[in-house]
Amino acid sequence: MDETTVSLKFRLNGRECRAEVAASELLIDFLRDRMNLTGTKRSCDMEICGACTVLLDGKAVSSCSLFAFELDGKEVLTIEGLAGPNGLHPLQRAFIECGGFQCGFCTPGMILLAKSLLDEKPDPTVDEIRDYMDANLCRCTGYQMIIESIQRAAELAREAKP
Amino acid sequence: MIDDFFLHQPDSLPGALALLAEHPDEARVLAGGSELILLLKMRLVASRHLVNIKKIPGLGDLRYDAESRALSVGALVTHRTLEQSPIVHDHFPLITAMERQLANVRIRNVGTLAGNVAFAEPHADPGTLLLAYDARVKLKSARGERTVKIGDFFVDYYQTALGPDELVTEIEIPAPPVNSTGAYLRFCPGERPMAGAAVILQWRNGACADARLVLGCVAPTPLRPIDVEGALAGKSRDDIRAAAENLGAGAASMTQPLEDIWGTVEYKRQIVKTLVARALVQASQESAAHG
Repeated sequence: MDETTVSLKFRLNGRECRAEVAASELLIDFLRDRMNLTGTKRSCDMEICGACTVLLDGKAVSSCSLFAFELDGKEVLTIEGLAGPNGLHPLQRAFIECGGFQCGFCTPGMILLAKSLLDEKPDPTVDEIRDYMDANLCRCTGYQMIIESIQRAAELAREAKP
Repeated sequence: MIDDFFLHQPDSLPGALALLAEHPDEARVLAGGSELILLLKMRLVASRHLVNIKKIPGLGDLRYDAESRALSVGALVTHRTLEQSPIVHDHFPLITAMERQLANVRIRNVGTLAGNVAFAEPHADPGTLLLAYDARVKLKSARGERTVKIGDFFVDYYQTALGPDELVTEIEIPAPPVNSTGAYLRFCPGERPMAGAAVILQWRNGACADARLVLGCVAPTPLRPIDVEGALAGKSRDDIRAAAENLGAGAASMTQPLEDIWGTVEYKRQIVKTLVARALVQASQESAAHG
């Protein structure tokens, strides 16, 4: 059997969803144009800059270079799904507190990449943060505050635990 | 953005191979897609039929056989899986170190080793190290299967021995003999490496019994400077450290780098010389990572 359109079942920001997509549709276009989730940014369009980072089954990926049909059976988290019922996620609070952004264009990708780091390693050293976050670009070069924001988010997460 | 195509998602290997046999010139294989999707977006390749192999069971297997001392890397094994695998770390520490610095974590989460090899981008890390290990590429088609040494698999810039109806199903990496040490170093001013050097030295009675040296990114395919390998044989650790600069210069003279935004031919040869010298010094330390 071959097809040019595909039916998908997936979880998007915690909600069960179904959709039909063209086989050639990219994940970033599906999220931005079909789901109206414009927090995911297109920039380099070649897996380098990380502005389009989303978490697919918890792993950071470039949504600019994945097909939307790969969502089938999976869970995707975009920046719109990060805040919980009790308000902003610790990473979001820390980025505000530490000024972890300037123009803000790289911020959704930075925060989601940082989430995958903290999920893997809740208490990273500065070197580990630098090494991991090396994947994403901030063209305002506000890296120092981004690193401080991630350290602060790790602190906030520790404080939240009894 | 990307031209429409027919999507095939076979759930068996024979199913995938039949599709490739049916559409040898129009079908493209999707594993990780981290290279393919870029090419489709830029319309550098066309795909009337896309064959997604992710639903085929078994292609994601990563196994180490203690008897044959070989690592089998299935077509769907990602760079990130290799980076984080304790078995890879125990038996192939150079692969762990190479994977840790490959591209970025988003690409490592998606991209596969087999896909990287099949793409044969000359500015890549894995091929250089895999040639030092003398890895083998297993190819299957509806016609049968064959195993190709990686040195024969890479043919030219972006060209491999892979036939239009064939699929890379596995990469097999034999562990070097015991008493081997090694190093892999690369220079990467952008997203892709500009030059790389892999060395594996086998030791017997304090002398180098056999040497494998591979230069990456500085020729159409990963390159073995055979004369330099020959010159390493019989040398002690001290001899190799003392001769490292000269051996590096000899290796660099055999390269054919492309002049591009990352440097001139002369500059790239300087980088190769330095990388080879440092890799030889590193591999000659008593405490060097085993190859």
